[in-house]
Amino acid sequence: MNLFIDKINQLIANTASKYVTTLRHKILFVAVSGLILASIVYTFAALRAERAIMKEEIIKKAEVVGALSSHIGELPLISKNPEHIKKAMSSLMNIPEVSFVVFYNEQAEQLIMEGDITPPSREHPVEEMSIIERPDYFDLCTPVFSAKPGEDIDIFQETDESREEKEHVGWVRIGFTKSIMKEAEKTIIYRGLFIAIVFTLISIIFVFKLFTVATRPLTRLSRAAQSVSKGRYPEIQITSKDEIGTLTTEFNRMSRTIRDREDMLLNRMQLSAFVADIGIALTQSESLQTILQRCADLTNHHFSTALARIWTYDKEKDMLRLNASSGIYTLADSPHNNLPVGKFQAGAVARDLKPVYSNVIDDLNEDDKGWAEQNRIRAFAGYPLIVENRLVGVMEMFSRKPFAEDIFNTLEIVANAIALGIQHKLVEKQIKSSLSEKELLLREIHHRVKNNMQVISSLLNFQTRHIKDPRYVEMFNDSQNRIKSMALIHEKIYRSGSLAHIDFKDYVRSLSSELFRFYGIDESRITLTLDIEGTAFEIDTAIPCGLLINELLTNALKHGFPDNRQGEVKVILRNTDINGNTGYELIVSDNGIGIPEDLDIRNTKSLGMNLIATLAEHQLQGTLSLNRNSRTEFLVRFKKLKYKQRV
Amino acid sequence: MLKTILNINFRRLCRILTVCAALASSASLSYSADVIILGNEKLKPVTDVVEAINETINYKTVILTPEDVKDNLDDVFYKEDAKVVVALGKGALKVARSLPDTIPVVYGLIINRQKMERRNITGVYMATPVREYISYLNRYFPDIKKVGIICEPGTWDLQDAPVKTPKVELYSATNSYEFIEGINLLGEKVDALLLLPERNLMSRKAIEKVYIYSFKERTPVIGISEKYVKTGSLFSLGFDLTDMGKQIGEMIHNVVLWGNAYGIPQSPPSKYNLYINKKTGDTMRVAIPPELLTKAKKVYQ
Repeated sequence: MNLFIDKINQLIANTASKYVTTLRHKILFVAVSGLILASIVYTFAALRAERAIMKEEIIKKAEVVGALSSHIGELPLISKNPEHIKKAMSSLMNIPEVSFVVFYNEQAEQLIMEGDITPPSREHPVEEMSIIERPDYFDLCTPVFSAKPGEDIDIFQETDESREEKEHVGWVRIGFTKSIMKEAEKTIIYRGLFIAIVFTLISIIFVFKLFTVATRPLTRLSRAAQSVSKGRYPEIQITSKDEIGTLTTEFNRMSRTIRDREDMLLNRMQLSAFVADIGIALTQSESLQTILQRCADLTNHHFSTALARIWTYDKEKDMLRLNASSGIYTLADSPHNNLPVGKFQAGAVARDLKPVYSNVIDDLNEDDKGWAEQNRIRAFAGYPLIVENRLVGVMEMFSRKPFAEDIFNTLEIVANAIALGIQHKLVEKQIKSSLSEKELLLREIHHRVKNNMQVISSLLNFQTRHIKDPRYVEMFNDSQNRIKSMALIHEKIYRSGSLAHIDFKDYVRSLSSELFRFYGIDESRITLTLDIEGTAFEIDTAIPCGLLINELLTNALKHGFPDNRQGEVKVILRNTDINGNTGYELIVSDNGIGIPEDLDIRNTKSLGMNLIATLAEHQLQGTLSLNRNSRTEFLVRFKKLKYKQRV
Repeated sequence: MLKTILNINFRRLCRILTVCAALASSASLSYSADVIILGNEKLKPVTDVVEAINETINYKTVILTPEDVKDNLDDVFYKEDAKVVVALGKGALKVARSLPDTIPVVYGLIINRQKMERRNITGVYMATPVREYISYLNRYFPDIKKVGIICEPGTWDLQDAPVKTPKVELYSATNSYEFIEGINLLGEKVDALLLLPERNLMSRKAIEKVYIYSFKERTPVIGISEKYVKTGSLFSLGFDLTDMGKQIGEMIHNVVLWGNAYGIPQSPPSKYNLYINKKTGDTMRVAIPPELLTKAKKVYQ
């Protein structure tokens, strides 16, 4: 039994967990289950009661029929005539509930029987009427007596009936069918089912209605909760003081709290974004005015102000200069672009070096009140922009709506950032100014060095005119060219955009052209081929490298093509890898007459060759090799020299 | 009041003493009576008869319940040195019949004459002889020409009728069913139905059937006693218990005197009381003579 109940419970639990998901389903499940259970209990109880009643009625009827049978059967049993007994039997069989009738004589011997059912034989004759309930019928057995006077005197006199002698003449046994009882049971079951179905349907409707009414506040709460999840924070009207009312109150409180927190979070996010935008604006490499104007625009947008302004402080003139204005006035149409400290609200802030904040227009500086009333200004805020206890400007805002309480916190952050930005820009301006001055100075130096070298070269040129010996002339010319090559370096430096690097391709082209012109060589006779990769050398590398190219080209032009020989000179400078580091490969080659085989470029009296070796191996710290195969080819491999701090 | 209380107490005391004496005598089997009366004292007819007996005779009597002495009545009789045993009622007579023939037995409150399978027995039976009714019918109801009788064969002496009218139409029946069948057979064949006190035939249902028949066929029923007249019989000739007691007392006296009951015939009541139901007579359109009405002890209107 317990196992069966457990299985039923498990089945109900499984069904409930599978199909019963919402609260409404759960209540319906419980209600319907309860009603079905109640209907079953009611049906069984009614069945039991009705069974008892029916049984009692049948028994009563059986008792009546028993008494009747005793009455009817008395004379036929006395007569022992089968015909008479049959007659009495047929009258009993006419009773609808009677399924069989058996007559017994006084010795309990069966005389006659009629009916659909053959009853089992009764073991012991009964002395009184008895009823045995059998599966399909009630077995009634009635003894039949013939009442006669007890004493002889009783025939003559009136006596008590109890003194009558009852002569036992036999038994009548009658079967009462239970079909009526079973029909009644069927009716009760159908009625129970009908009631269960009707009540279940009614209860479903009732529960639905009741639940709808009862859960309306919960539904409103649920919808409000959905709204909360979508970012709206409604408040529900409290209509009751019960648990749902308390829940609604708590929900409203929660909604308000979330809304406030979200507003605060949003404010903080907006503030963070605003501060970030301010920060980004301040870090732009634009003019201070442009940056501050962007800051003013952002401030105006963020605080929804009528006017947001940023003033910078001119210490020398002790004045405020309007650098940015956003809102009802722009920088261009602002009535006052310069303010003496102490004048107007911004001047007062600069004078007092204290933030000012008020939502009361009367607190505004007298100079601004008329303007504020005309423009319906209701709130204002001003903050001094101070860096390292120095005033750098003033930030002010005017609004047609009251400012929030926490505006100072925001304003402080923004003001500090803008103050730093202004300071940064001012410092940057100073640095740029200083750099520009130094660059100008350096160019001037290079220019003067170049001019001095140009003077030296001119002096050498004058000197050369008074020298008769061609060898000395050649020496002077070589020196002159060497000085020119160096002067050309300085010229290229001060003419270039950068003082640190020289466009070496441009330099080599100028140098080679100068040498061709100096030696009067027609380029149609000796072709110059330059293959210089875009390389920018610092001056430490450029000067020895320039001198080296000067020596090699001079050597090729002077000695490689005598007697107006035609040929080609090629200068190649390209990047290469030297022991894993970035290096350069300089090749100067010609297809002239070539260098004698016995000439050792490192042990020769030629100044040019000595210079080549010295410049390549000592100045550039590279390697020098000479290739005498088909062409005369000098190959120098070197690394870019690192700048050495000299001062 | 005090008298009533004393009277009641006296009666009760007497009864208690009598019972105690009876119990004591039964227990010790030591009686001292000439006449042993067997009968159920709880029955009023028995006490009435016993009272009448005691008024009639001067013998010492003792009343015993048949159940108490059914196995040792002869011992009681001898030890008591009694002279006669009086059996009042069917049960008492059954016990008395077991006595040896040497002991005289007088019976009473028995319906009809007893067959003489036992000697030394006599008594007064209660049934009014058929001839008495026939005589009455002949004398007072001349219109009744034929009278029906349903009885067990051989039980009644029907041949000693003093007159020839009315003619007796006899039907035999051995049980109540046959009795009713007999009534059904009678139909309009008879002018009246004479009921005889047949215990085997006269079940309650049979009596009911008799009256249904009577009123249905307008055939008057005659007999058996005042009880039947009261119910619907036209008339009856019934005995009186006191007279019967006295008659039995005289019979006891004779038996004691002669020492046995031989020669003393069984007899019906010596005196009858006439009861008439005039309403039945009117209903049945049977004329009842006025002199008969004057003779009647009681007339039911």
